[in-house]
Amino acid sequence: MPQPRTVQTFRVSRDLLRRAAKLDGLRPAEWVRLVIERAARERVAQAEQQEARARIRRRIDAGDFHDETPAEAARYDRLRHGGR
Amino acid sequence: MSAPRLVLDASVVLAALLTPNRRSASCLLVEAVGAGTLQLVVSAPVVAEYRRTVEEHAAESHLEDPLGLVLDLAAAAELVEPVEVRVVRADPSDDVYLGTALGGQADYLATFDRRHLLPLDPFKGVRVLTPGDVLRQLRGRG
Repeated sequence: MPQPRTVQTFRVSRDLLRRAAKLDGLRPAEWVRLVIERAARERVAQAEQQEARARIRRRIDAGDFHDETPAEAARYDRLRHGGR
Repeated sequence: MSAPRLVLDASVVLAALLTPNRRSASCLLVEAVGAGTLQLVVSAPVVAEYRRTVEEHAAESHLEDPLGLVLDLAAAAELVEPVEVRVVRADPSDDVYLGTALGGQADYLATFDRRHLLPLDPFKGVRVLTPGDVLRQLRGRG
């Protein structure tokens, strides 16, 4: 097993370490590589979600969306109630 | 600040599924749920209705995986137990949405139902609004 000190250099969360520890049978170097790659993927996913939130917030604040027309609204309501 | 809590009527999910207009209010609401800007609240009967309606109209959808939308919504949602409500005598299936909103302490119920649900706004502290009106309520509340 790698020393925790080695892994902490990369600021990997404890949660991630716990999950990575379930990867049995891997050589230490491989284990560390997987932990770092996973941490990087999670950081990218978090950044993408923050970006998506910011983009959606800008659209909401700018009123950048189209209301459904009364005919569309009536159609979707009718479909929900089993009509055609 | 915690995300505003929202119940989506299946008609709004259908709208996001079927509309050719990707800038529609219903699409933006669904995207906001996916991004965590809004906390979706569901109950088991509500998810069952999402699934039923989406399956019925999957062939008309522009999405490659229509049922995936239901799964994504369910994954992002908080599952609650609906409170028993008997308000809409003409259509008890509408009561499930009101009961889910109350059980999940939702801020908003988004719907296109002009006959039974929208006239109830506000219902015991829950704003019952069209998707566009929900979005207008959220303006400047980031």
